[in-house]
Amino acid sequence: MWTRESEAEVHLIMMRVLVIEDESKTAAYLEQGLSEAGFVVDVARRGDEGYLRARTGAPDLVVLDITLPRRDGWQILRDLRGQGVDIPILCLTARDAVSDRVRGLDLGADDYLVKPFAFSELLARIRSLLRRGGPQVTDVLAVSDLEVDLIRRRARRAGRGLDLSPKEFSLLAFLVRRQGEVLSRAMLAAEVWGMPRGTDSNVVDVAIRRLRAKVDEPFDTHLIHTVRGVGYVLEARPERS
Amino acid sequence: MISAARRSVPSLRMRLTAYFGASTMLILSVAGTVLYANLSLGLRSEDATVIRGKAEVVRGILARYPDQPEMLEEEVVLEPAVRIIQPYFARVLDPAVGTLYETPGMSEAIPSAAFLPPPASGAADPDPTTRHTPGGRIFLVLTVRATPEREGGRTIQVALDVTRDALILARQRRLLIALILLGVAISGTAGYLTARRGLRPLARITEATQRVTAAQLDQRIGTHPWPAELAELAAVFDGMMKRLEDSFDRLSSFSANLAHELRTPLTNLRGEAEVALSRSRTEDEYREVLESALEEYDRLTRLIDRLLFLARADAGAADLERRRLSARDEMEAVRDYYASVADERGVALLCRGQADVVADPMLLRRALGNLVANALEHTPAGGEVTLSACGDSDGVRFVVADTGHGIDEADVPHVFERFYRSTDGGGTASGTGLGLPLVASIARLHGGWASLSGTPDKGTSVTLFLPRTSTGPTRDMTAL
Repeated sequence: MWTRESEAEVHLIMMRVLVIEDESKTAAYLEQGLSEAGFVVDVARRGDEGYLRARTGAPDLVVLDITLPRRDGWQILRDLRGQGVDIPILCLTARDAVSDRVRGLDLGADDYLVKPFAFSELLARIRSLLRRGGPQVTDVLAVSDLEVDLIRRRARRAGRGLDLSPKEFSLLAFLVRRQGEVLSRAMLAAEVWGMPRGTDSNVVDVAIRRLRAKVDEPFDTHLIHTVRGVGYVLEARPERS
Repeated sequence: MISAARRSVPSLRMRLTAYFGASTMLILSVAGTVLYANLSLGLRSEDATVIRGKAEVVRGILARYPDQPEMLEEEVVLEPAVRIIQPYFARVLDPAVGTLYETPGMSEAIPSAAFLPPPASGAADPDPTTRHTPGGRIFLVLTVRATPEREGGRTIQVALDVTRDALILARQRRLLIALILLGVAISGTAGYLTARRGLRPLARITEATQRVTAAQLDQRIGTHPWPAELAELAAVFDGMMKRLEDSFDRLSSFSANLAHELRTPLTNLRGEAEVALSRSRTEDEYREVLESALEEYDRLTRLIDRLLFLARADAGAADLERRRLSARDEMEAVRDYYASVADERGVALLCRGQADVVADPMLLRRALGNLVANALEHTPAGGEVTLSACGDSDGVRFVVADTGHGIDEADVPHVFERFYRSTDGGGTASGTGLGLPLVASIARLHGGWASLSGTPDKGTSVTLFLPRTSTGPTRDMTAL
């Protein structure tokens, strides 16, 4: 549901993600959501258990809750990095004081998400961490009949040049680069416009609407799709009947 | 606490009593001492005049009437014998013969050693000196030359009994001391009574103050006709109570509003879920419910984010990442973001001015973004929203001005209060009533301030001032 296989995503399939989380509902939906997104998910409900599996199970990425019984997230983070384990670690916490964030990153976390977070956001971050060091993004990206030239900052669809404003191009380029991923409004506001979290993100709807008018409306198939309550995704979907 | 303070510091009543007594004593002592000194000097100079006069008379008789011994006898023997007031003794000595004349009883009254030898011939008469006799009397004694040495070298010795003067002075001293003691006692008592009476309003104001409790913050004490000094205290106290009451009111309405804000999305969530589960639905209907739920979760998340941010800003715990920024770049970034919305609404969104500013870029954008969102919301098509920056030596002033429908004057003092919604029903940016408070918090975190002014039907402008050098966040709990 969260993603569809596309060429750019193929290399992420069958990646192993270890989730260390004690809260049962959270653990359950993380397991389900990540499995359905194509990851092989392993869940540890206790800190000590999580630490062992992180060391011995050779996961590709660890999603680590900070408040855990037995051995808390900080401790696991310190121990794993101390043991030279350098797999990407993404921390989850309900505390978002900046000092906590800094502490997490200082201890060697690769990313940090504050609860409550959008699952789409988690997915995007996980993919971004796994892509790190992965195949280099090419200069020209294509989805269906849409071509985006990142160097010349030009976009064409069905061979016709699209007349986009600089920001519209940035938005489209971001969507294309993350094709197949559902991107939240807050994430788009932050990544494309550099606006902080908590900004009135409805503005993104207007920008997307205008982009659609140029990229989708003149053509038969639509590439930009709304995922209600979550955000937007750019992908080639099978023709609607 | 009050009794502890009483132990260490004397009461006002005792202090006033002591001040009254001490000042009375000081005044009476100075006055008494002056009067006493004056009396004592007066007596002494009068005695000196008398004794010199006597010596002069005897010398005159010796010089002018040497052949009339009865005159001398009259002056030296007879007159002193009958004199009651200021009795005196006199003696005329001749180096060849010895004592020529002498007041009877003089040798018994004063030993002749008490007299000084005569001064040298031709020298001025000396000052009389005081002598206490073994008999307990006090004399003023004087020795003068009657004739020069070569004309016989006679000398005159005069002794004036001044014992009575000493008695007069002693009585005066006793009187004075009694007077001072009496004065101190009277003024001390008066001071005590005055203080007690004068301080009675203080006790009453204390009583009035004690009646104020958390449940009755509307109590005021300034309504009573207090004396001028206490009226001021009462006014200050009432002012403090007013602020406290306002804070209390704001806090409780804040909590009530918060509960309400949380209740609305929860009601939606719960209601939709229950209705959805009450019978079997199609897949699309379930999807609809879940999507709607996601929107409510977003609302809750935003609310919590903002509240947490405000709480942290209040506690001064929000960490700032200050950097030197170009105000113009920040404004343009915000404009870029809102450009599409402004365009759709037919509102021109402009940037003016440039300045260097030291600020946390994310917080600055958040503040400016909130202001622009607000302005766009309140500006009809054809209007204009202007972002401008202007720097001086104090700092940078950002102004977001619109040509919208302005603001009701009654709302102006409240717009920075949390959850405040203007009386005309217009909401703030995200409709949480936290947009402007957030801007104010961001300003305070930078050591600056935010203010709003508006004219109905002309537009509103909000100023965000960020100082050049910050002395740390300004704390202002009244904004709660």
